[in-house]
Amino acid sequence: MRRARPVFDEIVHAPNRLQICALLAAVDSADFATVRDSLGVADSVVSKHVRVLQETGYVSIRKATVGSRVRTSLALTASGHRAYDGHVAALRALVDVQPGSGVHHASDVRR
Amino acid sequence: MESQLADRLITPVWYHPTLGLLAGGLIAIAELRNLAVFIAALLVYAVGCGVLVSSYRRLTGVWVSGMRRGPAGRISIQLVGTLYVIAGLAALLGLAAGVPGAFLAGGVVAFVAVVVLGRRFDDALRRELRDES
Repeated sequence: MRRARPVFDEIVHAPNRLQICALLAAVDSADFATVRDSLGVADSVVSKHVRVLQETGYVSIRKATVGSRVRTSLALTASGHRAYDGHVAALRALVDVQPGSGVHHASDVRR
Repeated sequence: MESQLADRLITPVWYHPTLGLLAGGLIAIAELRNLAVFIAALLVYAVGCGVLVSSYRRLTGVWVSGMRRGPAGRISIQLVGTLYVIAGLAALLGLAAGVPGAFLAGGVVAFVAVVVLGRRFDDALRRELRDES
């Protein structure tokens, strides 16, 4: 797998958004309720952060009516995947946890 | 987060046997050599797969495509390839060589393949998610 270029992303960096991205990066899509339960926060908190991610184009939202209930599912977009992978690489570079990765100084991380 | 997700991805026990019945049934039904029945079975297969996917999503709250990079994705490709080989061999033996019961046998083998490789896919996926965390 190709290593992502370390790019620090302030949108992704907020703790709740980082957790949302981490969860969505591992699956194709996840229900809003699953994301909320995984984070252990209120609906309004998830909504706020998902809206930011959606406005940035990192997350797509799909609503489907199942019976009488509306199910909202979230997925990371291609640019969301790139931003998350780049941000994770940037965090790794910052703490320098990968000796021999070619990134040994915080200045190697692009903002 | 991924580790937590891995714990959440518990496939219901009926999932792979049902998928196996759908795939195996589709191959086995060709034994009747009736195009209308086969088309009806194809519809049942498509609808059945749709119901299975939505049930899985409802129960786990997530969807993970089989066609992903990594070991789990390779098992998916292996499963699809195995089903094509089984269907091809059954058609060769049943239609070209006229061996009776070839499609039925193919259906049984397909059922076993889906159950075995499906469970292997789940294990590989959970391992992948835990390794990433």
